[in-house]
Amino acid sequence: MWRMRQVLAKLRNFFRHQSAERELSRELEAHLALMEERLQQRGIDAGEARTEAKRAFGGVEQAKERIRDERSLLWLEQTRRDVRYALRVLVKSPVYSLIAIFTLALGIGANTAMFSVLSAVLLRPLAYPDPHQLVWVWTVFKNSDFRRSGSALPDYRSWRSENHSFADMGAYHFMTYNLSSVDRPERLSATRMTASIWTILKPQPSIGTLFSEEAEQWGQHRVVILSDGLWRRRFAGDPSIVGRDVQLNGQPYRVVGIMPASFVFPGPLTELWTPISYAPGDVMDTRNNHFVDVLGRLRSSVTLAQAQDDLRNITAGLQNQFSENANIGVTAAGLHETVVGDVRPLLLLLMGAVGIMLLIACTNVANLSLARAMVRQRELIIRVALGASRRRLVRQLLTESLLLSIVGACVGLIFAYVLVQALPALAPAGVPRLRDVSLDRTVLAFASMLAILTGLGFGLFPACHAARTDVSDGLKEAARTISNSQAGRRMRSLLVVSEVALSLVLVIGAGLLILSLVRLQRVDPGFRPDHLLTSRIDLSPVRYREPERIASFVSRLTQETSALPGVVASGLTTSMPLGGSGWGKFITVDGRPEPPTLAAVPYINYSQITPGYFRVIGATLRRGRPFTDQDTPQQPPVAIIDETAARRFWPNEDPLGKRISLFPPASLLKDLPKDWPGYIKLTVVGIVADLHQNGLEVQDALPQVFVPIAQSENQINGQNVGTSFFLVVRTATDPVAYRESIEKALYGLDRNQPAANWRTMENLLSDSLARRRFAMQLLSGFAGVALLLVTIGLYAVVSYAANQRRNELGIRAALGGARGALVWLVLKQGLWLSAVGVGFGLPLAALLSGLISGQLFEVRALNPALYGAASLLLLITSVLASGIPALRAIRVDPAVTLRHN
Amino acid sequence: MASERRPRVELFQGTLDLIVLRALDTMGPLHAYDIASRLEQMSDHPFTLNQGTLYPALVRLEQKGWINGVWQRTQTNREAKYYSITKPGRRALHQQTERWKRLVGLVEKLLLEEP
Repeated sequence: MWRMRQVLAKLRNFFRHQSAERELSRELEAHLALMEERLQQRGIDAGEARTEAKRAFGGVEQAKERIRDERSLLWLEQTRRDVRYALRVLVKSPVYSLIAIFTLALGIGANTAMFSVLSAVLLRPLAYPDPHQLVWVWTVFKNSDFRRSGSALPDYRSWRSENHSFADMGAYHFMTYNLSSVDRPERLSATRMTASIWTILKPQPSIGTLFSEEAEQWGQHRVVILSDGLWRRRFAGDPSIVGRDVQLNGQPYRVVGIMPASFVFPGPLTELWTPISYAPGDVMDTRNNHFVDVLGRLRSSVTLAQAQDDLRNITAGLQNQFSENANIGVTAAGLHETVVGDVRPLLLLLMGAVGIMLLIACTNVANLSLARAMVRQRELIIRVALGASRRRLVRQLLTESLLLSIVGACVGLIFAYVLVQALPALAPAGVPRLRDVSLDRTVLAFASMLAILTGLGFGLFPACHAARTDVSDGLKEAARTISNSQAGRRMRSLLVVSEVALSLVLVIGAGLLILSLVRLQRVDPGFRPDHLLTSRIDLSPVRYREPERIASFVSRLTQETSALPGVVASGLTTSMPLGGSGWGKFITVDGRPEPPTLAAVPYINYSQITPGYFRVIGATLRRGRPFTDQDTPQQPPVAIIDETAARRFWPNEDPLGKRISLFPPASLLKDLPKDWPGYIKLTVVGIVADLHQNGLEVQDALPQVFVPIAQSENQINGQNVGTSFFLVVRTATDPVAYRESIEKALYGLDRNQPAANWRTMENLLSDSLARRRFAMQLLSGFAGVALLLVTIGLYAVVSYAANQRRNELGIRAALGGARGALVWLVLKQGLWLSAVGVGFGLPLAALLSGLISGQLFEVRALNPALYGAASLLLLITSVLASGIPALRAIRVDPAVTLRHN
Repeated sequence: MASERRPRVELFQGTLDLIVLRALDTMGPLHAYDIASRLEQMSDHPFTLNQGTLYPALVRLEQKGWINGVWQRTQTNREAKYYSITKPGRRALHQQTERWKRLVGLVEKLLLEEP
């Protein structure tokens, strides 16, 4: 009981330091006064009584110290004294303190901001229950580059019913619906999914219910669940919408529930959820159509590897059972890896870079404190001589550096906070979960850890070094000049050298990313991206069922928009460069030997376009003719291929006039109807220059084939005509200004037809490079800060050394030494240090370059020119850093220096 | 560390605390100078202690709640902090005294009795 009381009293006293001190002085004074009084009563005179009282009492100050130790916790008391002393020391040398704090704030702030991104994107668990059990299952095509593809619904059903690893599995796919019969039509992103997704993710609707498996029955499938955002935006948050119908793609869907705002699946774009359902015999529901993503929840005792084995066995069985599955494999990955997998290397790279920057910052501050420790050596030596233990001294010096790093971390946190606030504006759209970035407890813990580690990191060495000084030597030396021990100087040089080496690594890394970006921007996309406005138009499959209707809508829209004032040309296509959607097909070249298996049939990217499309986007027709309005369904079907296709399929022939079909040879397909008329053959009429459909960096683009939208019915025998188009409009002036007039033309044709995703092509292009640009900017920023720090570090060392040699320089000047020679004397030192740093940095950069090679484009990680340029940059920096002390050296008046001695 | 925290007196650890408690118990409230003077008079051999070293013991005892200090006026109208023993202090004194007696008895038995 009393022990607790004692500790509490001690703690209370620690915080009531001032009043306790006052009380103590009062009591001791009273004590002495009483003693004096008593002594005087015995007849001793006043002066003698006072002396005698003091003697009897013992040292007042010593007593106070002991009482303080007794009064509060000893270590707390000592820390208080250390901190107060450290504060006094730091305030006394404000330049040192401010540089150190600023340097550390930069390092810690940048690290904290970067870590908060890392923590939000990579570390924090996803917002689903037991996210570690969630697994994504992908189809793998054994004869294709696609590592992960969507799966066929029947395959998914086989996996779901035959596996022993999953508590449940579900399938879903992206879908768009046109919401109509409200004030204005709107295209909405939706997810169609099996009801089992609900059991896997276990969400609670905020109103109404989730749909069950019965809703997957064709005919009972017209139910929809709305997101909180959509419900508030379009239905004014009216709860009575549940149970009523909304018009989606021209069909009534019954609203059964509203999800809370916290529920996001599979991404923030999805605003409604409907069940996957197909009429019996629908071609989409066959093993040939791979379009659903499959999600599973592992049973609690099953690992991902076991589940993969399980799935592989089932898939092997399917291969034997169904000819369509001959090339089908399977793979699975944790949900987390799936969501953030491809940004992980980039983030880790940036985290590494920012870590190097912190290391440089620490080195720099260590260098500064080492220099200061030399200046303070006299003070330290006197303290040792007066009996301070070395441990006590180290502790004192460490307190100073910890104080610096803690203040630095606080400033750094402010810096990080500003950065994180600005992040959504700065960062590319492609990084997932960026909205979740915040300075939370994990990040704060990280920052505090950094503060302590850096404090120890840059403080420990100078402290130990200073405390090791020999007292008698020190006193002797200190008597003459401020000490300049050999070991200390060597150590400072070593620190600067390592700073230079580390900065070189960052500069080279940034240089590699810059070069990549430059190369990318020089890539010819195959079209002219300026003055292009694009939009996505998804026709309702219900209202646009007949191919003729689609064709007529497309041609009328093209005419109407082309006729708008200021519009140069206008066209539609099913897949647009950077549009993010592709359509792959088999290709069979007429008259060639048939491939032995389905697996050996080549793929080609397929687009349906309007006749003027190539002219609109500015693509170059190399040979042949473009499509015209005469390419009607009644005319022979035609196709235009790109140069890649020409090279691949007709390496030694002229492709013009050759015939192709966009199906595998009939002999490889089973179950064809008896009255199968045979595939339509298309005649190649033109060759277009290669287009970068999937972004500038995709080099191994598949070959492309284009067909007229008007003839598309022919190729597919009336089925599966495209209903999703991109409208591409070339304008005379700023394309953004044309959106309204184009929309008006569209609504004039169909009041219920929305258009979405209005973007300029230049925007899309710039976005496609955004992630690279972001990484490049960050790394360049880090490298720039590193250079700044190196400059400070070099400057400090060189100017210190120049100061030391003032006498020598003065004598040389007095003896008529040439100014140039004097400057060179000082410059040489900085150059020498940075040359050694570069010597260490080059192999280090080469060693680490493997880590960055995944982020490069057409630039080798070991690029001699870049390595040379970066080295040169550092050498120039060192000249600049040593320039000021060098110039100061020649301005020394010899007379003054000599008199000084 | 522990030795740093204790006053360096030529007394067994903890005996100073006990003596202070005992003095306050038998003589009523005293100020620090009084206590020091009594200590000098109380024993046959005056303790060779600086009066200042009394204070850590007073702080310790007060923090344990065994004594309580109040500012008052002396007969000569000077101000002084008078310490008095508290109820837990008396209990502690009793316990400690018992322990000492047992210890002393044991030491006597071991060192002084004939084998």
